[in-house]
Amino acid sequence: MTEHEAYIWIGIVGLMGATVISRTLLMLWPREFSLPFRLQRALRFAPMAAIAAIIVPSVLLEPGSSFIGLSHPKSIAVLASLIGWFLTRQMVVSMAGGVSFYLAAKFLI
Amino acid sequence: MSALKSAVVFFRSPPAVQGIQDTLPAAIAMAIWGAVTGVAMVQSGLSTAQAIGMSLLVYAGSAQLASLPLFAAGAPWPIIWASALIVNLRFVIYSVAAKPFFQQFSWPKRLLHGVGMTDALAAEFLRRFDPTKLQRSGLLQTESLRLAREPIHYYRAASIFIWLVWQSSSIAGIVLAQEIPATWGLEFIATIALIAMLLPMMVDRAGIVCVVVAGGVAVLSITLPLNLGLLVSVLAGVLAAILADRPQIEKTRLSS
Repeated sequence: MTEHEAYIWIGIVGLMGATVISRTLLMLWPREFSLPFRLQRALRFAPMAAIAAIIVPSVLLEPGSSFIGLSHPKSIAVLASLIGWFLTRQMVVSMAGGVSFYLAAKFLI
Repeated sequence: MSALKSAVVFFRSPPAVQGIQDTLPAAIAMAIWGAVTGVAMVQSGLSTAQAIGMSLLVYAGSAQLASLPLFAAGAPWPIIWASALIVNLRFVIYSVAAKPFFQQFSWPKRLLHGVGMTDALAAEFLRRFDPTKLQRSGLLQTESLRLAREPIHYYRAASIFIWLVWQSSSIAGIVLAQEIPATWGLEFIATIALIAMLLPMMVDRAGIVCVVVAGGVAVLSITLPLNLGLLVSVLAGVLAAILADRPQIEKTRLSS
């Protein structure tokens, strides 16, 4: 196994741990459990923040940390997914729009 | 043979049929996401074995998609795992809500039921068997197995059904991805899928503030060592959202 393969596999096993813990920790907790209202609302934001923190730099920045231009296929894909979402409010349309415009921009521009 | 027979009997029981019927529309949408996740895993550089392994072992679409840009960037494991934990925090909320139904089980059984929890299942299960309502009406207090059997059969059937739909569509996506030419450069598909997932979550002002602040801080902190910027951004996003949410909380309190 190469070093890179080991990196991915160990990463996957850790991801499994992270998922099992979040799904079962409180299920296994011996006592009844209730989350305070405010904590529940705060927990709702954490996944959004994490997804935003992962995708925004990967959309806006090129390797080497410089900003991409508006005619970059990535910018066009993001615009297409935004427009797809606001027109139809369907996640699938948003995604399909993003992917097809990304490919179109890549091969046509 | 008798195991097969009892499985058939189980999946034909009314609560099991109900569970599958209720989650069917979500499962159809989920099949598309499974296929996209399968394609995204391969396109961002995972081998077929790694992609199938990830699908079977992790079984959490959004955490998988979120991990892909991090793996591609060579991020350290703790960062990848921490972000998966954060993306998965919604499962903590679901498991607390569903906990009363499984309280009578041994811990291995609770573990198994817990692992079957998904977004689609939580939505349908908690709508049909709202634990707070049931507790108020005294149904759960009786702890009678006969009474508690219906929600558990519903949950089991629906979770097995969703698992099968997800795994088969994900593996179909992994196989399909082998046919996609490398020149397409579809590694960006994971990011597009995450954008499409994020948009419906930004339903109110606090959600928009959360995304803008977390994303902005992530761009500014990209040079922090060990990708620590990610955790700083999550913290900033959540804090900003809580601040923006405060008037909203007071409004909901007053109206309820």
